[in-house]
Amino acid sequence: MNTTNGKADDKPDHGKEVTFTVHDEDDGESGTFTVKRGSSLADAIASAYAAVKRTPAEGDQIKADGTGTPVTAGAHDTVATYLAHGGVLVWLISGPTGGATLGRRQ
Amino acid sequence: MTPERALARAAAEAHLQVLAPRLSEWGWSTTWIGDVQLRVDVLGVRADGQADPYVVDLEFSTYDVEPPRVLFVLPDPYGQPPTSTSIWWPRFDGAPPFEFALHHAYPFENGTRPGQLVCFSHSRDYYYTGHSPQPGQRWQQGRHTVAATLTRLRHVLTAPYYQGPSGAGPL
Repeated sequence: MNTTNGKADDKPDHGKEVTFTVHDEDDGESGTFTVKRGSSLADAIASAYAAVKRTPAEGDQIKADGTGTPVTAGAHDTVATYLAHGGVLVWLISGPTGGATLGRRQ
Repeated sequence: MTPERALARAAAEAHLQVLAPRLSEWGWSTTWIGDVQLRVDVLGVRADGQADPYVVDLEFSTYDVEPPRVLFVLPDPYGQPPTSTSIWWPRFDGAPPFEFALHHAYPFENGTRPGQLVCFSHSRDYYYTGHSPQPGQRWQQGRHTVAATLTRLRHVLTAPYYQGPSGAGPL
């Protein structure tokens, strides 16, 4: 698949829509959002936040359900390339969690 | 039930209702066993997909000003702490998915006991054991709910961090 900027939107399926589910793991709220496959991943992430009425904050993580992989891990430009590389349709947003690692007192 | 406990119970019930579809999806269930005491039957899922049952006791007396107290407990007699070789005491290995630790006997600040500590910032006892969360990590009423507590428990009870029960003993 061509992932070069400027070329991706020329793909015939990039006008098709795809629907994601997103869960806010801090308050349990869930939502869905629909974007075109040719949309930028950054726009999709913005839509994910809007779907659960959440404002992005420092330390937030947005991960793929089931794998725990950050959605941004592959640095994919578009939703299409994200999905083509094994991206999933359920995302989890959470803020930072404090604690301690095993065997270490804080 | 005191007014304070009634408010805590109402907040917890409302927040659990929001999370109910996901709890069902995970195969987890909840049962109120006291005014502000909730039994949560959870599953730990190993790398090969095998699921192991655990019982988590949540106590909401100061909710949602503070997170619930979190304990792994025996199902029978209910509420007793498992031994460290119990089938009801989970075993972890490697790096947790976030800052987390499970202590069998941890020295609490008030000095009255060493007790079990499920150590993460969405567990009440974390705030009474000398921890210093960063501002973004600290429990915030109105932002965090019991969903934060349970979703984090789900993550640690999933492979690769989750390994299985610590032993085969029933207690």
